Amino acid sequence: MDGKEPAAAEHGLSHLVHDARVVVCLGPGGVGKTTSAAAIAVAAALAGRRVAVLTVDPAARLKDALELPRDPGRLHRVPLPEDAPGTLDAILLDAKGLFDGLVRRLSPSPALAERVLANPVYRNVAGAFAGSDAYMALEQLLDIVHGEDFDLVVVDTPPASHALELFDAPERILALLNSRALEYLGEPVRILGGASSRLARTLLSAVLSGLERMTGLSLLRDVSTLATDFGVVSPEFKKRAQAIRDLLRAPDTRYVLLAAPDPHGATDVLAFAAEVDRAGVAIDAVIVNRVLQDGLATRRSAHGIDTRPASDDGTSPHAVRRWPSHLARNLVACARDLATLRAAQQEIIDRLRGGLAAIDGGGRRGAPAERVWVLLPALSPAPTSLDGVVALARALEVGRPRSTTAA
Amino acid sequence: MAAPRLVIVTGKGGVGKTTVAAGVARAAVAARRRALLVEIATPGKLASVLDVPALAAEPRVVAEGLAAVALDEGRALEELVHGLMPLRLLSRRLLSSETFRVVAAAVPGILQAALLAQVVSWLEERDRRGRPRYDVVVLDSPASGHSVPLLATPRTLSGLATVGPLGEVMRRTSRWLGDPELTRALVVAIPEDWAVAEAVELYESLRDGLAIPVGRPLLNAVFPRRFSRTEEALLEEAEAGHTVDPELLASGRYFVERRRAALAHGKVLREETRARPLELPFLFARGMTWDDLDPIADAIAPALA
Repeated sequence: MDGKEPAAAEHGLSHLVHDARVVVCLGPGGVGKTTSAAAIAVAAALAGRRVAVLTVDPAARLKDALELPRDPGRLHRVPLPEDAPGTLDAILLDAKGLFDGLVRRLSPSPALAERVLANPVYRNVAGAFAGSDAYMALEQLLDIVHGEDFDLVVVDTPPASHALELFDAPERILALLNSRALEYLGEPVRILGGASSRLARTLLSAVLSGLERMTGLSLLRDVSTLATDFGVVSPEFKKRAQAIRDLLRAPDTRYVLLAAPDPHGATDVLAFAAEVDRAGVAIDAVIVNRVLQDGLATRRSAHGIDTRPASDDGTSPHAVRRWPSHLARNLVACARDLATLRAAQQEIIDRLRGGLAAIDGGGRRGAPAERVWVLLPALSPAPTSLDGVVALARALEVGRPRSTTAA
Repeated sequence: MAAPRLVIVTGKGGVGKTTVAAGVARAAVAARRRALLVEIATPGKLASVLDVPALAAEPRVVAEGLAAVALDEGRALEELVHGLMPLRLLSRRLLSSETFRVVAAAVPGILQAALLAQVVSWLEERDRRGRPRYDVVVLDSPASGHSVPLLATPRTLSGLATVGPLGEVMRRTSRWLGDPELTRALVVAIPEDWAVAEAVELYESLRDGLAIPVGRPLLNAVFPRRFSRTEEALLEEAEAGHTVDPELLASGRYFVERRRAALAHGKVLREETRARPLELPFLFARGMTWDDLDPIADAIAPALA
């Protein structure tokens, strides 16, 4: 591995848009996951596919652009341009409602479900089981993939500082359900393993009831009731966790990593990518957002700027002389700052390329040559209308900045 | 108002919270106050911003007047349980049990309580002369989705934990978080829709929902103003290639555009929070170290006065 990745930006994300069955957008917070997920979904719908996009935390304007309804947790048809050959449905993740819904659906009786839902410890135990909203996003994904008839589902993942929150979620739930933890919860004194002496039991009971007193919860009773009740539901959860695990590693599930060329962002992104690799999947495309666009502060600017006007058309530099001299100086300062920024961004992008190439290995395909890089310009405002999302969609598909594709 | 002893830096992911938190610490150190920087969210980030080796779970001096620590959930829970249990041997035994962790995690807010209790213990730590060991503790708090539940913990628990040591810990934490003389939360945004919307929501839920003293909102990564109105007009009218180098012109226009975006977002922030945002400069340089944080520290000083 030479630590370099080929700059294969020519074909953009078109292969994902056309072939994938699931596209997962990954990355640390604030890098444009939600917007990119929406754009990829729109691109696929414009290419004739029946698409669903699961979005987690859209900004108000994106919500408006996709005409997302206020009620989360339900698929909603997005009005595409008339001539669009495909369809697009969007759904806003409702983690709270989803888990409650699952408990209801998987419980053998409504009474049991209601008892679980009413348990004061349920929400927190549910949190411990689920790990995070990430798991809920995956449950929702599974529902859509299995329950509905779509060619492609695009997933925007919840803000997480660790990719593992996503990939470990099914494993964690499986491990927990397979372990004896639930039994122990049913009879907390067994926590102390071999400690069967009366003294140990007495002490432990004292501690746990102390914990109850401190929190004001009837913790022991609630936990053990919940454990018993949840034990009934858990085989169904096991099945689903296994299905999610398989779906995440299916060959037509593709991964897009979002990044921003911020000074300390590369550390985040590479740590994220390493975790993704350890989870055994490959990153198929990288979108670097907020890159300074061309036509500003190139190498020439960095190495001394000619403040005189260009004279290739024969005009004399009078015009600029009529400008106040500090204006010319300030223009030069702007170009210098941008040149510094461009160099810094380039360094970070190089670090990302090198870092990703070095990480590759355990991944499913692990073939960096196939990986696509798309650099999006810094000044592209967040899409505020469907047209804006469509323009971004076309830019992502062909892998060129919007300025050259959006008319 | 006195300079706060606890500064909580928060905002949506990607707005530069860690850099801002480091800037707050830099400003404190410049005012000859001893600072402790606490990282909760993303391990490694603070060390990268400060350009120092990885942080430990114990506060360590990383620069003159500055200590830093990476707060660890498991460790904090351990400390809490040790503090609450009479027998060290038993608490250790209990903590080594995976199942206990599950049970403990089922106690609403216990992890958050443990994190806050650690922070308070550092705030109340004294040196040999009996003065606070740290004049200011700066929290690089997790992204907004996690920081509201974290800061709400004393409230959530105070209704429940009225007796016992945990109740006492939460009451102490509440006293810190609610006192405008002691605590200030700083909400960070950058000039982008999503960041500003989130900052407004966060600002309101901290100030109105949790009654935590909130400082002026911070608008981070703002391009400097380089041109007057007249000059901006001149730049707009100028014809590239004809009167000025096209690249220079484009650079100037880019600054004007970014500046305008910042103004527009600053206005939204001001109108929605009814507080005057403080602009923090965009940093163009590539590698940054503790010593390069002065521009941020200088700009942030008014929010700490």
